[in-house]
Amino acid sequence: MKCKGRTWKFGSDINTDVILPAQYMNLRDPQELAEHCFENENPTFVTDAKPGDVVVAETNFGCGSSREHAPIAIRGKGICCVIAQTFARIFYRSAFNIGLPILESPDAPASIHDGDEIEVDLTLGQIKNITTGQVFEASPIPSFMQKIIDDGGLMAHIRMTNPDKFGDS
Amino acid sequence: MAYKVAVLPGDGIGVEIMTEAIKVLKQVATKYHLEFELKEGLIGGAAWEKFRDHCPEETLELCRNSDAILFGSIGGSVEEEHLPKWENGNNKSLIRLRKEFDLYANLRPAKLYPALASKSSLRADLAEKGVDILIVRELTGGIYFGQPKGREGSGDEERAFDTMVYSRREINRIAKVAFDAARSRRKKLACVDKANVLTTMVFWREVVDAMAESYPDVEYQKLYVDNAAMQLVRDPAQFDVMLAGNLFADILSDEAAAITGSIGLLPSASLADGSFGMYEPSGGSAPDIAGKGIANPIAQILSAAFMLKYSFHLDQASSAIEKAVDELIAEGKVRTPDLGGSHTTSDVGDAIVEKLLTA
Amino acid sequence: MPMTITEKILAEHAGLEEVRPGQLINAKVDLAMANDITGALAIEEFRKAGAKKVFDRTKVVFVPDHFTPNKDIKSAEQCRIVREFVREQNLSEYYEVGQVGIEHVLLPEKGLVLPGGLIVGADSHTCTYGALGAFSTGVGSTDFTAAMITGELWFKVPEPIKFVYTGTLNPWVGGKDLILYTISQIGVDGALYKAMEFRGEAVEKLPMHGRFTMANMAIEAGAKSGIFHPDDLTEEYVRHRAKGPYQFHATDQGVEYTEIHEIDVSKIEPQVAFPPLPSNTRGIHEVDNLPIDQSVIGFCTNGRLEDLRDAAVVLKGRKVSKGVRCIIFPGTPSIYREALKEGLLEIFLDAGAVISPPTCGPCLGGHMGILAKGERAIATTNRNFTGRMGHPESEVYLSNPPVAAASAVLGRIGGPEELGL
Repeated sequence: MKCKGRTWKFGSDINTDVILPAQYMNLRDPQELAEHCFENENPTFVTDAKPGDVVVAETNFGCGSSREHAPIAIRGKGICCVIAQTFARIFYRSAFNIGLPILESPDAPASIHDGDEIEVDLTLGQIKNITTGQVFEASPIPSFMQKIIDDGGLMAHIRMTNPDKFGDS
Repeated sequence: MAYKVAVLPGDGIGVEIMTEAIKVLKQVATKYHLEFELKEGLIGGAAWEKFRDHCPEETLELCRNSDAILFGSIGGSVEEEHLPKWENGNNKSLIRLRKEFDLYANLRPAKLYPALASKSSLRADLAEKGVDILIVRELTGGIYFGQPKGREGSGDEERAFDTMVYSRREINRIAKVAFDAARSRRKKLACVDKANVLTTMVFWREVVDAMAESYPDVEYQKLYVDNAAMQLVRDPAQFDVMLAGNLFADILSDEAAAITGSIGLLPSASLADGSFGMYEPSGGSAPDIAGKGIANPIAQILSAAFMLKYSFHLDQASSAIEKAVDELIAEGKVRTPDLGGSHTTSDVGDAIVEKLLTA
Repeated sequence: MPMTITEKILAEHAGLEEVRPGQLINAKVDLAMANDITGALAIEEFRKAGAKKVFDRTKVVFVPDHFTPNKDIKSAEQCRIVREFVREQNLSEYYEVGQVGIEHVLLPEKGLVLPGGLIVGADSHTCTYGALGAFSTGVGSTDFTAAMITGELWFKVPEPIKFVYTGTLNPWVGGKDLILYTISQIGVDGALYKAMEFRGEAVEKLPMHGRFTMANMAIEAGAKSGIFHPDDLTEEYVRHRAKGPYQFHATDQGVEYTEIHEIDVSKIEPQVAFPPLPSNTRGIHEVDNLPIDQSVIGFCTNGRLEDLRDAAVVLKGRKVSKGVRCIIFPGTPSIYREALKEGLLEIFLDAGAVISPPTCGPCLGGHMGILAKGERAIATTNRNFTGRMGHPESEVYLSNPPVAAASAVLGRIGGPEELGL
């Protein structure tokens, strides 16, 4: 799977309240959540982000709460994937669980700037900054997490492994 | 829910020195954003004047509804001792209050102020080493209160007897106060008893020894009372906290105060379980200088500081007052006649307030 | 091979003889928990996936504590969703407003989380229960749903990182200050994905409420979990409450830690975490004139009875400064009631503070004390990210209860010593 679009660049320690302010935690619909994504940090994100765009951040992206509303909002906005130097661990799991592709890359974020055109090959784990021409390799996704993605997310994955617990639908 | 204090100035100089202590408390309240509810009551001769009772029910009720008692001093002149107004006043009021509120732990500090070393009865080199002792006295038990107590028989065989008795509970609770005090000071405790002769004292030592195990951070020593009395005059600097029963501590605390030469400066505290306590100067009501505006209020002010520390846990506020007093004495500029100066009671109070203001 | 206490718990729940850091395991959970916000989302996942029942009606708990008593219609709807699910699944433990408390104070109080247990919760501060010597971690709603259905969850065994606290605590210094200091030393990702282990003589003497406070903030250092060795204090706490069996584990001799940090607590004074991170911490004496508009005391970090007592000692006989709003958040109805009996609530009321029902309320910018633009609050909560308690241009400073109470009286950030204590 490939992503191609504009980079939305953020710094370090971007916490879940920045991604989705907690006052909107009584919303659940991904589209409704998407309308408030990063609204205080970068107000143009809500208006200008397009499906296919990529979020790039530095260290400890998604720290703070375990509330899935944050990755759901990012995915709801049509963001194709999130690239960061490191991710907070609850966000890391949750992103995979809900089907938001993420890549860890120690080098790429420093050389990618807000507004750069970017292309990402999720299968190969390759990141290309079209604006500067630089190419980066992301850290490989653990095979276990890859399996979850391949199965279509955690819920789909456990349906396959625990069919007796689910109804016919 | 302000801090409620029952203020009992009493007789003689009690009224004048209490005025200064109240002044200091008000400054503390402003400085530390708190409220005291100060209510006055009558006690001793002053109470007898109005109620024909040294410790009227009204005063007791006030104390019951308060968090602490700030006590001045009671008693009349030697000449008037026999008058009903003064007779048995001590027993009727102080002892009454101690029993009523189970004030079993009496704390009596003995501190030598270097600037006043000349007033001490110690040799100069000993005085230079300094004296800073806290005597913890068991106040509601022991031989003063033990039963049976009486007289019997006649002629040559007529005899009188008192009973020295202490329960484990009584010893434990006073020992805990002493160990906790040592922990908050220089971490040394001397247990004073007569464990070579008195059964009660063998038991006393046994119980205190056991408690020492829970305070491994406190240096613990044991002394017979006769040795303790000698050590106090030989080398008082060796002591931090001393613990003894009612009789022995009564004697040693006066001895310790006397060697500092500044009994007029020493406060005392009498504590119950929990935070309730009564705080009063160690000295008396000095009727001969009453009303002249020259009494030394420092003991009363330091009693208020004790109250802040032991009843209200306002450690910083308490230390601030003590520090102000230390400085005032060291500077030597504002002193009442008993310390060789010519200032008034009120001058001293004002000076302490000034120091708190600028601290 | 020697194992840490965390590894032993994971191994036992995965049915394995031993586990090593980095290993992927599937472990059975003793309890899966969610609140009104994360629970509603999880229940939707549950339905969407076509699941029929939870794996064990006694091991799935919903605690509606975030936007309750309901802050608005949407929040009321979320609680309705949770309530209906609880009824449908006939869950044995559910707490309605009136019995509900803040989840991380309530569950230990009810004896539902125990030493040796493995607990997952759809709330990042689920790590709190590590104070009891359990493995406890926060997960997203989807992970929680998976655990709700199957009774197990996959884990990657975290690397161990040890913190040894020595020395004697200074006055007014407690668990909150120790953990704030620790986070300031290692950073908000200093323990990323690791299992923090809190050891040393200073924490062995720390009472349970201080341990809960410390474990509560393990996530603020990026940790997977934070754990204390259970001991006599733990036994005393759980003995009469435990709703099931419990087990004490301990780290073996000879374990190799990824990192070991030694901290001398006698050098630590009350700490204040400046915005925008819990790691941006300074000692109270380094705080200059910072006037406040609000002081909020309690919550899952510091809402236990002992915390309220500490605040009451400071507020007794004093008044909240004019223009400051001081709100108290007891952790559970039991704590509220005890505080009432002990006269603490009267002290708070006399001081001019307000007492809230147990709720997370303003901690996450929900309700019950939101900040306007330019306002500053001191809070005994665990997070001070930008906009956390309201307007993005408001500020939150974190502290322990005595400092938050003293600040309410002073009208600026300051400690109890300034009040003579």
